[in-house]
Amino acid sequence: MSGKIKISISESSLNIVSAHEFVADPAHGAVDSFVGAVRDKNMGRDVLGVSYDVFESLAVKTLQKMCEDIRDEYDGKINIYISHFKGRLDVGGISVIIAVSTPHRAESFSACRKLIEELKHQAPIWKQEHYTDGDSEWVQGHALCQHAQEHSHEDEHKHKKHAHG
Amino acid sequence: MIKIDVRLFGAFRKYGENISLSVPSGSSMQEIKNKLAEELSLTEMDLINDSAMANDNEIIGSDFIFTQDSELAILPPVCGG
Repeated sequence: MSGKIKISISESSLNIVSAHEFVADPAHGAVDSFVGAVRDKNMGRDVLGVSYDVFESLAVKTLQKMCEDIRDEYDGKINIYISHFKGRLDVGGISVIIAVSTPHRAESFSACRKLIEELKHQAPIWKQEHYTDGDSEWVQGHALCQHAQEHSHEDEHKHKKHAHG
Repeated sequence: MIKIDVRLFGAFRKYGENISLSVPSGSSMQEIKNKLAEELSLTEMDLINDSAMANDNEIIGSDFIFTQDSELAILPPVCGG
């Protein structure tokens, strides 16, 4: 049956097979997935790993709402699986999996792209990078409060932020 | 006075898991943020002003007035994925 949504925050390794099994649907000829992994460099610094902090209750609700909005947009003809990691990962570790299935490929590509962009901008999730020199820093991100969002739009052309991932 | 329990996330984690504030009933969001900055001995307000406050269900609007004990979370700019 179409229109299935599964959201999870996991402290165990994420599994792409589970994602694809969940979205599989006899009426859907396309499955698209996005897998986010920890990169070994960011902003010119050598990264050893990343710790992910998550406000779980609100993150699940935010992601669920995002998915329901997209399901409405596609008249229910979409299955969505999102799982985000919480805790510390080494370089190469999988931080997020999004899988989407739809009847045809164009909708799958489009929905999957939209979901990862919205997740990065809206879900209450943070990452702290750990560097080879022993230092650690919280990565700059996207403000959720209205005041800061307006301020950030004004400054958009002056400053370009590069976040990990 | 009312009690506001604030859970700390992201860059605020270095101050602990949570902090309890005592503020007058009728305090605004900005007054809660100012009190939080004072309790954490923050010298610059950029991070706290760029942060949202939320309960378990939603982001709370900046014009919200607090009249009863509340459990909140302070959410610095996000960067999941």
